[in-house]
Amino acid sequence: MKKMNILLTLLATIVSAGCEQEFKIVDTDGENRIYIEFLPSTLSDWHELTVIGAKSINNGAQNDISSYDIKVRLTADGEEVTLEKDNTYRATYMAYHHFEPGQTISIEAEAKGYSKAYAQCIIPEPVKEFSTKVEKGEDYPDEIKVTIEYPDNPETKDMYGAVMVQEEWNEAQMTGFIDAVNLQMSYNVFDESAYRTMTLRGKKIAYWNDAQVTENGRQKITLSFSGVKNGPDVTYRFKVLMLKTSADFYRYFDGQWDKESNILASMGLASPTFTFTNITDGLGILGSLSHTESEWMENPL
Amino acid sequence: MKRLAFFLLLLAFPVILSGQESLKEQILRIYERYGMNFVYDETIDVDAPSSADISQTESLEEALEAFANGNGLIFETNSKFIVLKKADRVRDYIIFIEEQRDTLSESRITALSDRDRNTTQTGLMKIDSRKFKRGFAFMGSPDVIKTLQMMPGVSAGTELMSGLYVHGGTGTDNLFLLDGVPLYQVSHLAGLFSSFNTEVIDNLDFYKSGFPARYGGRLSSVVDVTTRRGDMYEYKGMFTLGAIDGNIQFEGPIVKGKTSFNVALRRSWSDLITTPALMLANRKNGDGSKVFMNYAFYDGNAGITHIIDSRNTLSFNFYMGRDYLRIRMEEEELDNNMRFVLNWGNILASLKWECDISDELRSRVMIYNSSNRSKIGIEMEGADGIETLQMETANLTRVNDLGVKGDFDWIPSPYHHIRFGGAYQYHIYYPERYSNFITAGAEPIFTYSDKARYDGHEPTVYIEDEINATGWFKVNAGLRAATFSVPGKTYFAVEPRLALRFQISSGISLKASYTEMNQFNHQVATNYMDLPTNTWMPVTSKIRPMHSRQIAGGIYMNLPEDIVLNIEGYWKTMDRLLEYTGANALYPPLDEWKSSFSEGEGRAYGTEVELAWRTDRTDLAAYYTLAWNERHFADIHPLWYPDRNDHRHKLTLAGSHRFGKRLDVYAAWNWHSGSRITGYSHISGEHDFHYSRPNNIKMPPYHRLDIGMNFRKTTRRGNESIWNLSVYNVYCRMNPFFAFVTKGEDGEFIGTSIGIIPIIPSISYTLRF
Repeated sequence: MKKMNILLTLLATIVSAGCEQEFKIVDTDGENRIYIEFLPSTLSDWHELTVIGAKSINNGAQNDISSYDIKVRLTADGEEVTLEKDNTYRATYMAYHHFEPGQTISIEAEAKGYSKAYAQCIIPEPVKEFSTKVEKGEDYPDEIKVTIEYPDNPETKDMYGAVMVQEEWNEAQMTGFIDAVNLQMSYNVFDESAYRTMTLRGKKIAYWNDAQVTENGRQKITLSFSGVKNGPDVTYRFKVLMLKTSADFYRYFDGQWDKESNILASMGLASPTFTFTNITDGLGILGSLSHTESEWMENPL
Repeated sequence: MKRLAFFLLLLAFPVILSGQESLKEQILRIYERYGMNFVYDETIDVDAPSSADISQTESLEEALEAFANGNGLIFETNSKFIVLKKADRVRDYIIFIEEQRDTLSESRITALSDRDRNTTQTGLMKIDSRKFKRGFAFMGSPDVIKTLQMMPGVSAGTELMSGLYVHGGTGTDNLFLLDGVPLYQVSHLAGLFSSFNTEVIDNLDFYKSGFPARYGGRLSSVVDVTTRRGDMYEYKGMFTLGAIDGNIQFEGPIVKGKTSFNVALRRSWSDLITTPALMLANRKNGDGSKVFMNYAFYDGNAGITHIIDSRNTLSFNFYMGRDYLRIRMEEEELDNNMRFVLNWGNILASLKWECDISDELRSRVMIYNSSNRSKIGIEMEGADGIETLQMETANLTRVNDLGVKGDFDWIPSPYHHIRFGGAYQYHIYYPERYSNFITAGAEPIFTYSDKARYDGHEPTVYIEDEINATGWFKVNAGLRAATFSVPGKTYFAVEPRLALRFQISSGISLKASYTEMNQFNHQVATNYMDLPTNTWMPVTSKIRPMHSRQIAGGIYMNLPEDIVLNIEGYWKTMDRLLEYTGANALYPPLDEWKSSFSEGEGRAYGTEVELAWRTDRTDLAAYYTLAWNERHFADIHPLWYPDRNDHRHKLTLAGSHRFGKRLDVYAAWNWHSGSRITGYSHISGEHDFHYSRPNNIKMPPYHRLDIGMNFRKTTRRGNESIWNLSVYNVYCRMNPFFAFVTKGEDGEFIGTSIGIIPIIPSISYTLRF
């Protein structure tokens, strides 16, 4: 029986024996706010920016402005970054810019009838050096485990992430295909996974904080995923993109994960960790990350 | 025959007379005969029948001796009045008498309830056993925690649970002491009953602010419960049969005047009803599935007191309490069965030596052990087509405190009352988890076991001096120092304590206090449900002690016509608080639990008003609180946000009245602003919902009415029998247990609350013999 089912069974018993009553919702906030989601990184030179008006439930549930009615200004170290409309409709704008570690990113958004929102973050310095080891997993025949070891400053609170990149090379056709693998979180009966996963522009990212740092200032983490055996013509190899995320990036996506998974919090019976935002007078997240790449590693399967 | 009966009645008349007279009536007789005023400790139940015969006495001295010895009391005389007190009370009467010299000469007999006003402590409530017996009773049983939950400045948390959230604190930062020993688990039956048996309670001191230097280790409140010594002269006791529990208490001398015992046992019997009821229901079940449920709690208090000589007393106290819940489900067709076990409990033992070293100096030295255990576990056995599989998983929480402490009480002059002392506590925390997944007849295919052990060493010293500078100005200045050592780190804390009192007039005083407190352990919980199986953990080299600062002050008035009006305000800040931000697990990891928690801060401020009218027969009180309670955890939200127990307004109206000796009634109406939950605050597009901040939605207000009545009767053998009828939640208000937000078909957002506690009537019978 999964660990949460004990509590949920008891709660279900209570609910089935209880009485429901409806009540009117009055949010103590009451102001319309602008939602911003922007995650600049060093992974690529194009970045998705989403801005959308979020109406307070006190003011009715209709959205009466389009995203393009919202005036947005994005700067990197004070210099304005050009925004273009996103034709894929995944986001509102695309920002084409090469961000560097240490750069200060600022964003402001305003629209009529909405509080002016703004936020600022700094692209973190990347992880300078790390080592990786890839090996066959023990639990499943197609499992691959990658252990990453890196230095960590025990005096600071740091957040990290990783993307596992897989290259499929077809020798016969002389073609290759590179994509991120689907990293899997592990669950024991009681243990929490050391990391969580989220999807950023189609790539599965594992992210974690440095709470498990060891005494000598080095940390290890093991990621696992399902691999594929090398075939007669097809071979695989892997690379780690080691990420350093901003603290706000971590907090926001940690909270979003809880929003989907934490039933107790949605009932007011556990910490409401899904409310994090670093947008002043707004909603959403301005988070950043930088990356460092490893060498290619051979397929252990 | 008739003459014999008459003669016997005549002989027995003094006995009957003395047995029927109350203490108060005898005191009045002595006053009328000798013209002496009396001052008595308010914890003495002067309405109780007296065990003394003063009819044959010929002098004041003889009358006082007969009266005091017969009722287990001590008296002191001076030229103006006689002081009556219990044998174990400290000698701060001397100070009080010096202050009240002129006032007391006006009265005949005066209870020392005025002491609350005359102390320097803010936020102090003193409740004695008499008040418990006459006050609110849940299901026929007076309850400590339920009584405290009605007080201003206190939130109850989840409906019907024994949560105590004092001045913005959490449920785990209250120090509960039972005869000076820390008690970790204070509730039975998920909080329906507290662990304190009111039949053995002598008195209770509840501090919300202005903590004296002798207390420490928790941020928000101190609940100091002292049990009653056994009667040194006669055997007596009581038993109660209630709707779901029973209680028996018995006390008396082992050696008259020297050694006494006091024993109480309590047990629930809901299992006697549910077990056969489920067996019958299972028989009717055609598909072969069966459910068995068994829940019970029991607790026991035992105390032995030995008076070595006039200056030395030895006492041993023991407490054991346990709850267990077992649910078993069987599915015959699938050949599956599952067993769920939940149990928790405490064991406390202490040995105390009290010594009057001199007329000015008194000491109390104690060694003790406090142990808390809990277990939650599941066992499953089932067929999986081919094999029989077994799974067993459990989480155990264990805390052990071994301690020694010495407290000294020194009154070198009427102007100084100095208390000082020290303690050493050795804490052992050893949680454990295990899980086995086995196929029948084979080796375990999955085994998991994790144990941790955390040791903490906590020596403390304190000193405080209550200085009676002038008749109208008194100050209590104190200092407490504590260290807490864990592997890799030693924390050191100095906690100043200051309390001032300005006596404006005989009935009005102003008080102010400043206190700092540190807490070196946490109850690491992943949810707000105050589960008894939550794990206690000490600070670590990375998790720092929680800390609070509180300023409180107010005006306290004893007005004419027995009216009391107290207005008190407080401002409290808390830092290094912990909040769970982990991965939605039932339990945080044992060895790296700190990785699942974030550090933050809190602040709480408000005003409390108490208006009461108290006479011998009637007690009417109104308590109102206006308060704010906020939190700031950067990992949850960048700005301050309301705590879930941010109840802006709280109002309690309580009353009791005694109609003669046979009937007394009580009622209490509690109202407070709704607790808070986190719900959608904004919507973008059709389906994207957002939350502006934590705890942004207020649930409907909480209110309920409880009433009860006691029908008292004296049996033919001279014992007191009491029938109690009580109703909890008279108008069946289904107060929210939890709530959630959904979007209706018309696009409107609706809150839905789930309430589970309906009206609960109960009846109980008590016999005091």
